[in-house]
Amino acid sequence: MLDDASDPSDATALNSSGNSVAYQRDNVAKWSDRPFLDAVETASRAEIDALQEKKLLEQLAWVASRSAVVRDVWSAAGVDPLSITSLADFKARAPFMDKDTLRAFRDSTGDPFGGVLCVDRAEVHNIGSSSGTTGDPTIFAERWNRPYEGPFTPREYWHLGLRPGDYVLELSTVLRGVAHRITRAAGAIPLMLNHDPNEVEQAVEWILKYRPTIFFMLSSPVIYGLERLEREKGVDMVDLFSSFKACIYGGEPIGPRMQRTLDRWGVKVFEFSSLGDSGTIWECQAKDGFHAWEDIAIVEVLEPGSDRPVADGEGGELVVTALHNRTDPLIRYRSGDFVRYTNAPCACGREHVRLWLAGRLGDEVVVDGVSVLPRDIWTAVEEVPETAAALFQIIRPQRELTELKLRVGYDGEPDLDDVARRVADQVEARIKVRPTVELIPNSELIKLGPPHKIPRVAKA
Amino acid sequence: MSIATLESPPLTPAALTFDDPDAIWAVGGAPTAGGLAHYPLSNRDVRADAAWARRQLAALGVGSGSLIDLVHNYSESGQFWPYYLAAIELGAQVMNGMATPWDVGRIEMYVRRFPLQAVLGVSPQTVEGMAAFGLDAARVLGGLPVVGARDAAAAALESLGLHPHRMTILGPMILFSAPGQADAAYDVAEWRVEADAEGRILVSSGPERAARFDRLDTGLRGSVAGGRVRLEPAA
Repeated sequence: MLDDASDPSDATALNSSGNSVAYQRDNVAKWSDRPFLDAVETASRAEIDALQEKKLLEQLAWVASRSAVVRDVWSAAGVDPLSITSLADFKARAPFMDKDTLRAFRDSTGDPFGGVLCVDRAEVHNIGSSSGTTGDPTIFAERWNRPYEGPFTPREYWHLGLRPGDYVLELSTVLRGVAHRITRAAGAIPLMLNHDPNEVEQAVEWILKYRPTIFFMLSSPVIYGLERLEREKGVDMVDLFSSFKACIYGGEPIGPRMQRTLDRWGVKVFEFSSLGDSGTIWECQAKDGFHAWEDIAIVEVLEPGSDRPVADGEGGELVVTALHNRTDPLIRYRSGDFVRYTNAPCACGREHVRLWLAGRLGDEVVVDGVSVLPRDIWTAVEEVPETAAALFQIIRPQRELTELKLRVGYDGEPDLDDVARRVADQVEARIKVRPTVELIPNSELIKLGPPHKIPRVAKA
Repeated sequence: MSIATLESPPLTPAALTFDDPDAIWAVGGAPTAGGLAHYPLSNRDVRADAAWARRQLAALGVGSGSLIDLVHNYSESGQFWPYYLAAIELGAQVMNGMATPWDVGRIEMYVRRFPLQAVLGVSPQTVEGMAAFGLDAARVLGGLPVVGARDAAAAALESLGLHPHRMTILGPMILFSAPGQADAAYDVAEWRVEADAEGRILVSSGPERAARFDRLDTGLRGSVAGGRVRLEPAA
């Protein structure tokens, strides 16, 4: 039968990797010489739709009596979750929630989970959170004695070439759960190091020793650290990356200059990103968009501020409904992420929806009527050698501005006035808005946020 | 609708041995005099360390329904992961914060929003970060039943009037000392710890462990007697 990644299990014991024994056994049973781990990956559109509808109705029955915030939101909208009869009915009538909904519920009730927790707290094993770069962190609860409920699954690694017994270099953080559980579920051995550009020399030593298959994960700060190591220590980056079948890059877009660096090193890079706090989306071998697993979540792309879907190929706000997660599911959650999508089959052989990221709606500033997103600044900052690491922030005290202010990181000991002028020139040439540029050393800028991504917008 | 079917694939050698006690679970990092040393942990090692951690946590009052926040960086997962498993075995729920200045906001958030039993692993960077981000460490941590702080952080919190348990990452293991206690127990079934003539604390692995440490210089100084380590303050 289709493996829908959410079948409940009776086996609640955890193995030494923190995964349920039954879940691990199920994973092991899938290991073969096939390119895809889960049968559902190659389901047809008709199969996906049918599976989604079945799982949606089960999920609504689950949350109707268990999710306090769903009760509030749906009651206010005058819709009974149990009255939904189909996927189409859901898309026509279901009310939305967003981060503000959860914060308001949390603040009015004192429930730290924002009303989404559907089980007794005593059933929860791990409580993680977002990094909190844009406000009080969002809390995520996980039950580990069940099949997958975490941010990603072993199927991504499998498709990118990981096989049991391989090593995975994990330069990771400890934010939402722990990454090594998935690596272990995939049968691989994690090499556990910090995601810190100041510690990449350690990673180089371990790579040369273990020759891992997957690099999780690259980010602009880590690449900045590696470039420095190449320059100062003469590390052979082509050799360093030669064992990796896939290097996972996340958190931010890859600018053209960084892409050239990765190409020069021969890095097989695959990007991933968040699926509206209900999972993650990954590039596949075809590298033509990010796949969202539709057995795990319903993906909608709607006109911002409305409930109207945009056409295939068009852009809009990503709205996600968790199907697999029975612990703290988000239902019709407006993510604030702006994406383009297609349901067209991918060259990799899968029909799960593909997304392309355009940015976060909350990151946009409007300067004298001109819309500016971080990715608009990226290329300009990259083109100035002293700021080529593209570590920068847009100062955004509010959305509408009369002046664009940037905080930009630099390397070395350059003439700062000259660098600021050249950065401003590059930005103005691209977006027709001349910014004011504050320069601070890269080493100071990366202290302002989690090491895999500095906050691209700051209030001051 | 048609249903895709996955035939039973042949089991690979890795599949057959994956969860064996002696199979490698992960490679962790142990701080040593010479920097961070990589070392393997087997499934058996993790279980043995979790059994030890369970006794440590129980002694700190962690039990069914407790909430604890483990403050550690990812490279310290080899030392801290057994504490996750141990806490879960005790019926507790685990949160995590990182031992970095920028992550103090999450530690503060957990303390503010949840009735925590313990925050374990507070680092000097945590204390510095709280000051830098305008958080009063004494106020954030002062109301907790148990605070476990690493070395210099313990001294800093004591100067603020707190009474933290002292935690030390001694190579591949974590030591706990209760407030006022000068030494800490280690798991003599898993490790041999000794001090050489110059007071260097050396760690050797037990015969069942995957790691083969032979008098690993931990970079710390002190004395060892009766299964307990007494550390000298860092120079």
